[in-house]
Amino acid sequence: MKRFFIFSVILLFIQAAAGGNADSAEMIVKGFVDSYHAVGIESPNDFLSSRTRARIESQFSGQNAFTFISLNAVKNEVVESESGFNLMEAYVDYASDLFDMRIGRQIVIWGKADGFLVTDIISPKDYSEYFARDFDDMRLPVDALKMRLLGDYFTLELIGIPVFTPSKIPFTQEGVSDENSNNPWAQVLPAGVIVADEELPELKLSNAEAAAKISYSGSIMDFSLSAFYTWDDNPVMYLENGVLNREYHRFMFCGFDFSIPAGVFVFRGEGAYYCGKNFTCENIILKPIEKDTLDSLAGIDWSPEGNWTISAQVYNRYILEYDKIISEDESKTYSSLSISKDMLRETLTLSAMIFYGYRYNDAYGRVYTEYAVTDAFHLTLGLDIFYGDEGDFGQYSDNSEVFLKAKYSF
Amino acid sequence: MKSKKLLKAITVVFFSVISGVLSSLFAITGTEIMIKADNRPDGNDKKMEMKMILENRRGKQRIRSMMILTKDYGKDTKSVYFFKEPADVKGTGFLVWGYDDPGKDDDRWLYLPALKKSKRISGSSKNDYFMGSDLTYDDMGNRSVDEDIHSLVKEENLDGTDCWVVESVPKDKDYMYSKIISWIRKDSDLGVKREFYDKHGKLLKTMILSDIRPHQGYWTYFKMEVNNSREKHKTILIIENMNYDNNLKDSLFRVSTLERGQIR
Repeated sequence: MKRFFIFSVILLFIQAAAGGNADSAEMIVKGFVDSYHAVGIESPNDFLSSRTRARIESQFSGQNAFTFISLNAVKNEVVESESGFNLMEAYVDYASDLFDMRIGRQIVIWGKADGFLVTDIISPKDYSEYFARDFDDMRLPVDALKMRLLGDYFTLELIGIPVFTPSKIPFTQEGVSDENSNNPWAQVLPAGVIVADEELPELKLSNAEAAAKISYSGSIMDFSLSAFYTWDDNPVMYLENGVLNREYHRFMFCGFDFSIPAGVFVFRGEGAYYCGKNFTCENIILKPIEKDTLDSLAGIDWSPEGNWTISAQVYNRYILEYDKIISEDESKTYSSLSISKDMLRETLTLSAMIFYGYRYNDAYGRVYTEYAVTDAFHLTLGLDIFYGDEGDFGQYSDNSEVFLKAKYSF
Repeated sequence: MKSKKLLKAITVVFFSVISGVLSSLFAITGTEIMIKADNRPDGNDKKMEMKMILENRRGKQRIRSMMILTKDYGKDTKSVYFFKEPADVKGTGFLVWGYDDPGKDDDRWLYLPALKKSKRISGSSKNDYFMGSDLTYDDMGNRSVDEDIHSLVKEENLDGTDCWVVESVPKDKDYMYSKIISWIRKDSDLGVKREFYDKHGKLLKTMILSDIRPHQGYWTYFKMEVNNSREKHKTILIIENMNYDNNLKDSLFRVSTLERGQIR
């Protein structure tokens, strides 16, 4: 089936390339080279991240179709296993007035939230360097067929994903030298545990994922309703006979999102019901337990004059019919605030943001300034601070860092 | 002799009065001129490429280029912009549904290729500068005639063409300009020069249109230069590949089209 899928994509590439009207054919090549380096602010001030990446994107457009390929070449000095070449996206896109279709490796992004995952669960995430990456850079592509029926205001989107792609979560083990031994973002497993190979869903039609979303975009508001029969991109774990098993489970998702403009404000929100999601237990020798959850987010964007952008969000996840053996809390709430100001005719950006977790009183803050030396060459200097002893942010309290990023776009 | 002089004086006064009455009867007002300029024929839709050159006081230039599609829906307009350069914004799309009613904000969506999704943004910030240029969204033609009080100041020949000179004072006292003076060409109803005065009444910037000629049946400018006298900064717009009445499909102005990241 995988071969068939790849073959179909190749075939469509050829068709799109051959079918284009020579007069309207257009080839666009663009990309960037960026180099990101972060040093811990606490002794011994090690490099927490040091990587250089080149991305090249090529698009060939015909009359009604285009092909798109995006490739990464990465040299990572801290997490060497991240070095190498990878195909980010490769798809064929066909469009008419009534429908469009995209087949191949692609990134699909849903939702209105910034930095929180409520309905944005189509593309899995790459947590290899977690907070040392821009959030928008963490999504992994899926091999999928996406089709949209297009109206003036309504859009129906249907997605089929025959091949499951899990999120990338770095693990290492105490006392073991492996690819993530130096990775400050890796989850550390206790010594002596044998880690079993991941059990990925078998490649067959009944294991495919399917999603549907209907969206409306109009003067008063944008909103969408969505559903997704999927596999959890993150594994659950349990210990059996000294062997740590990592399993992926199915669940059903229903969600909605909206954006409402009102003067200088845009109000936005998302909600999702995860039906039959599995959770790892606090006592890891117990098998994962299945529960439903309710995720919700409310946010506001304020754009006063003077190129200011101010955003605030509140997010909550609530596990229904909670059982205390679950490793996660019954309810967890986070807030975020970000303030950004463009200056000097949009050549200098000053930005600050903070994420705060109420349960463990932990926080993550980032302050940075980005300067466009030229339109093509940007320099960014910033500071990441993790505060707290535990929680999603507090667990990285040793990873507070100062970073420098240079990016050249072409 | 005396009676002859008296008759001449009466005749002069009579014709002066008649002339004054007639000119006041048929005189065009500032508001009427601005409505004419606003309603001047410019096709049902437009497709163009625009190069925007930003030049600072040291002469250093930054260049943006974009494809712009615009379609009229009665008095309202839908526009979509796709940026072709510089490289850091290539592929960025911007969709605007603009309304003539001054009480109704524009609907705006921004598509950023890095985010791979469209984002609803506030439509009320008409006074922010566009892409680091010297032009606000209002300056780019989105301002409604009803938002200002217009008065005809004088008539003047500007570079060989007769113009009306109209002073427009915003009804909103908090608006970023205290007044705008426009030179409207009588032959084409095209505003060829505008002076923008800041809240203290000082000249802030001057906009001059040039390379004006009939194109596909419509008077068209192919160059605009905005000089910001306070910041010694300049914005030059060069219009290329202008095409009117293309029968652009409504589907080009959908959010779903914006999210595809390109137009064909």
